[in-house]
Amino acid sequence: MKKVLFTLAIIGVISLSGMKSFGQATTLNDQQFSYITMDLQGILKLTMTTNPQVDFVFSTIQQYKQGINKFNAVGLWVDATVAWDLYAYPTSDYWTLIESYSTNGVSTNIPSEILQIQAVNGLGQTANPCVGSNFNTFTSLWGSANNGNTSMAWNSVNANTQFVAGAFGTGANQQMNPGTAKNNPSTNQFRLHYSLKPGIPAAFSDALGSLTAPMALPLLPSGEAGFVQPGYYSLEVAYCLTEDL
Amino acid sequence: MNYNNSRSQVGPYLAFDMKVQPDIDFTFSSINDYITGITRLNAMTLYVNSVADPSGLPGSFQGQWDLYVNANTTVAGQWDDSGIYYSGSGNIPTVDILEVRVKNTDNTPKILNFFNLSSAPTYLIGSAANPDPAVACGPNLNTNTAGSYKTLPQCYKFNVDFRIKPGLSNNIRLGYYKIAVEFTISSDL
Repeated sequence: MKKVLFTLAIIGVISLSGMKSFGQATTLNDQQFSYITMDLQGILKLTMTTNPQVDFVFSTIQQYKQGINKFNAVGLWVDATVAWDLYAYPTSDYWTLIESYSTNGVSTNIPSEILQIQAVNGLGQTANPCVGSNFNTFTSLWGSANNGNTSMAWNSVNANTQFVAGAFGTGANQQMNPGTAKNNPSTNQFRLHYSLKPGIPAAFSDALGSLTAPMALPLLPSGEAGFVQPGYYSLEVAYCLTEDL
Repeated sequence: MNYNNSRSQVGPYLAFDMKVQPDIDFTFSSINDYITGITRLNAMTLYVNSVADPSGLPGSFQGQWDLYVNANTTVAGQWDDSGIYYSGSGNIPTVDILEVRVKNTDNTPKILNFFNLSSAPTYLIGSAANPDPAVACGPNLNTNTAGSYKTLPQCYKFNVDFRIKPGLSNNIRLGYYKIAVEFTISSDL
């Protein structure tokens, strides 16, 4: 009987040894990590592809009467990684007299609205596909009385801001999508036409009379309707590219 | 006394040796970066060392292994967000915009070109099946047997490249993100 028990005990030990051997077949594994950071920075790039100065010279009666249109006066390219808007505003409400050629007429308080702008995209089509588009036809450039930008600040955007592309607000059809000018001429390239039509006398009545709230030049000292004094004037137009916020 | 690699002499042993866990930064600061992408070549190296169990007993480790990679993030499928944003709209980027390429001299990985990272494992050597057929070291073979980068670097040493090409049309919310890429080597039993 002792022999039998001893044999069973030996078998038991051998069996346990076998199980231990199988127990070594645990899964071996190892890990190696790489930690990656990604910094996606916002980029808004506005490039003017044309000469920044646009000259209008009125030296004939016909030019006064018919006006002068400068087609493709300004070219703008937009590269953006975020949704964006592009808008325009004059940096002053009135044209600045540089040199006067006469004493007839008025030379101050000549509103920016006498300049009319039309925008088309790089393919010559309507530029602004968004709601409330502003420059799809020749439109006066609004000063603070019309655009509400009384501080003349670049970030003073409101419902009356004049957008070349995009619109006030962040809802549907109120912003342009990220993209590059090179690859998206229809949405990221713009050509702006400028128009000035003084008329005779040079009251710019076509432009000023077309406003929702028509404007007029200051009266002459005699109290008669004003006209612009012959001279050399300037107006600065700002184009602002901003994230659609 | 030097214990270096002493375990690899006896087995069973399976590990990445000379392990480094690099931090790799991708900074997109120009339009060109977004469009053409940024590639980090040889950003990290995997040194595989596999030694079979010398006992040779049935069920013991015979040296065969699998190698796979996956993204390790808080929310599966998307990058971890650091709370720093540069834009007010868009979506958190998905992990698949990170492309990975793992290569060695003998082209033993199953995928030789860049592939999109996933939160699920992408097998480069072997498969989820156990065990896979044993394949010894050789050109263009999916080598998975015991061996070491020290004697057979062409099959057991892997260089890893990373690439990100965000583009401009993916509606990604711009910001600062991070991700852990996890390479795992596992015995194929």
